[in-house]
Amino acid sequence: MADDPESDDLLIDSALHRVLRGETAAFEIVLRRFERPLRAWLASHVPPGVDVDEMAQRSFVAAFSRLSEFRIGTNFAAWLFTIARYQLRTETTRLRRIADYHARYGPDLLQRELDRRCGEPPTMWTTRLEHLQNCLESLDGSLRRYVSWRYDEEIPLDEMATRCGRSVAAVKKQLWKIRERLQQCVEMRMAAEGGTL
Amino acid sequence: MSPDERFAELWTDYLEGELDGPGLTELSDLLAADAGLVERAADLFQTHRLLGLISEEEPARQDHFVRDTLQQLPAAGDAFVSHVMSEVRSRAERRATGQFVRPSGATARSEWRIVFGLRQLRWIAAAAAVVLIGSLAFWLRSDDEQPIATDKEAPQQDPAAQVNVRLASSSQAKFFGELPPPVGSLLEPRREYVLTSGLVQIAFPDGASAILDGPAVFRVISPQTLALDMGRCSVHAPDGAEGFRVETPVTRVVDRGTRFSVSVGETSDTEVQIIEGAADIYGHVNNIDASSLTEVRLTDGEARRFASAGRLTTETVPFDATTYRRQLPDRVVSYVATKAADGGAEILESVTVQRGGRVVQIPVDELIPARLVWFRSKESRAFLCGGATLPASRADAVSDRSLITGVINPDGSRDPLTADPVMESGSGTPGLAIRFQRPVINGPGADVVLFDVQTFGNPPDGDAFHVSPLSFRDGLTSHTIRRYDLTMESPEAQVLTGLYVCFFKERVDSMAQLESLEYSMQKQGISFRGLAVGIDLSDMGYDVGEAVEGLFIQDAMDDNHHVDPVFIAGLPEKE
Repeated sequence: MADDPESDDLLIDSALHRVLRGETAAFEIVLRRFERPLRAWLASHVPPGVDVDEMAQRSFVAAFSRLSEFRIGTNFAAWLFTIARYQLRTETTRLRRIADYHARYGPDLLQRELDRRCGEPPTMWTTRLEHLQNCLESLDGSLRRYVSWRYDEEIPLDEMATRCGRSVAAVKKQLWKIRERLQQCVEMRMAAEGGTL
Repeated sequence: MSPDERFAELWTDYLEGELDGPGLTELSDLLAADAGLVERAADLFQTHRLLGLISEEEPARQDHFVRDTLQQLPAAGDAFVSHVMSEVRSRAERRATGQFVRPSGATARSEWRIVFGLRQLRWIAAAAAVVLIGSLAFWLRSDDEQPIATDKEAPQQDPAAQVNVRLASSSQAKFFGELPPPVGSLLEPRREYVLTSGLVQIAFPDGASAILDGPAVFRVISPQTLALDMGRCSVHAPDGAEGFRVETPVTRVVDRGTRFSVSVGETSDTEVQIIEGAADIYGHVNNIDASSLTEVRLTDGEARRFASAGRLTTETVPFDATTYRRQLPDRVVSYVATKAADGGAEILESVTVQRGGRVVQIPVDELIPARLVWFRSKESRAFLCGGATLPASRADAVSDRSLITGVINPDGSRDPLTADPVMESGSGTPGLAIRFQRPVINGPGADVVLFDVQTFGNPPDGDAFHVSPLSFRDGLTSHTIRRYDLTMESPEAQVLTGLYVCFFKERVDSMAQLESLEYSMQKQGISFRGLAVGIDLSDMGYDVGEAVEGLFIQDAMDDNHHVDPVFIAGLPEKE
């Protein structure tokens, strides 16, 4: 295993050299390295109704296609996220031009706030993701099952209500509380690390 | 109801997709009235999205994303090939317009060299040259080449299934611009495969087989025909496969019941060596009908080189049986492991190895367990990996059957050991030592298997390490392994289930410290693969049949990555 971030950079640079020489398969190394941080960043910033994976793939493909413009030895992550930001901006502009987008998908103010947060350091979102994972693991089993139903199994609210013998309204309240609790847990961990939103 | 309570209701409905038009308007109004709520909504929305991402985070899912994305890249790869092709065409056009002038007294052959610019192309890297030659050969093929799939009764059938030629096995194979096809997969007819290094064996439906040595450019033309545009192949056509053909840019080699090797150079010169039986060689230039051209029959022990420079020339060359490869090297071929809930591999069930030319699948029960007896690292780092719960004895992490538990990141030495390792606390040799439950008997091929966890930030061929005897004697040496049998690029190296890494705050100087020092566990977000390599005790100088009690393993210290063994075992004596 690597114990030095610099060697990570060297490996990425080496992979990029190979890609530029025509060895497309070497791009897999780049994909593996940045797939998680890029998807975490995009998941946190793409507006409602937009597929995160599609945006991530579009960003990787754009980076691959324009690789000759990248100066190897400089910060590839920063370059990749700049491309992703551009892709995201293009997508949000497209959505704004759809007349009933906000009527169908969500408040304009939410999208604008997500846009505003695009300028924050992308690495922060990988850290948030890790904190959220830890918070989730520390959640009581009886609460965690709601998360599993909602996000892993993606079952409807009435099915959740049947499984736990409560009303749909009670399930909604429970989901709200769980999300709030996880949110607070992440914020506390970020604050403890000196991170800010 | 307070605005906060109402926000909670509306927001939950929004995330659950249950908010209607009026509800959305009300939510928008609430947000417009309170900037703090907008921030809160964005926080909750981002957490909601990350929760969705966590639920998707399993190795198989990530693997799917990566492979899916890779599939969307070929356009750029094609652009590269197009660029190379345009170079080839422009050179050919310059020849046609006389821009390349034959030097006075130059032969047609030397003109050919000038036209296709071997000297001028020397600056091109080896890999690019392979593609260039392959592309050139492809371009030189006439368009009237016979179609492969002519069975009108089955127009819907996959052309690859119709031709039914498979990749039978591979050894450390690397393909230009793509991952190697999985063993057993059908090869696409007429597609150009560029093997940059390593070996592959191709099986044809009539029983013929061809082993290709990288670098090589080849295509499968039909169920009985292989086109070799560059490189070397060793063909075995048993009874029933007579008539099997190898097409090269200047010859067609037709089997008459034989073993033969064909080597095609960068200038398309073709050398044929007949090991057993006979073969007919038809010469052709630029794919002119072969039947009207030279025919030569060669029998065992004969060898000839064919060259084309406007006209075909042949010359007898010394017979060299070593050009023929009868089989792929002995190696770890694949392994079987149980799948965890996230779809990743976890518990080793069996390992398939080629030993002495014979492929055998060995159940894990029959392997000879190895126990960790020494560990030393000169710096603190992560020394254990595994699931959420580690084995009661940390040393068991290397010998248990789990492919994610291991004692990792030992130190080592750039120079391999030449004397017995010292295994005493305080002054011990950096590295790790194992002792087998019973002695491993040195047989043909690999005698010990080592599995290593690796991710894409690590060297793709595996972490290099030295393996040394626990006790040296005359004739014994250390052996360094720099490339695993199953690498990050091998389809047979499986994606592992999620694992934790245990970071030690202090360096580990002895087994007692490995067992007792505190550590902090961290779940790894990225996916790892299980790489494997076979260790042949003969490479260390052990005699055939000699019993070996244990081994000493050191990282080769050639980079910032250290070897991460998760399973080491001896192979049982060959029956």
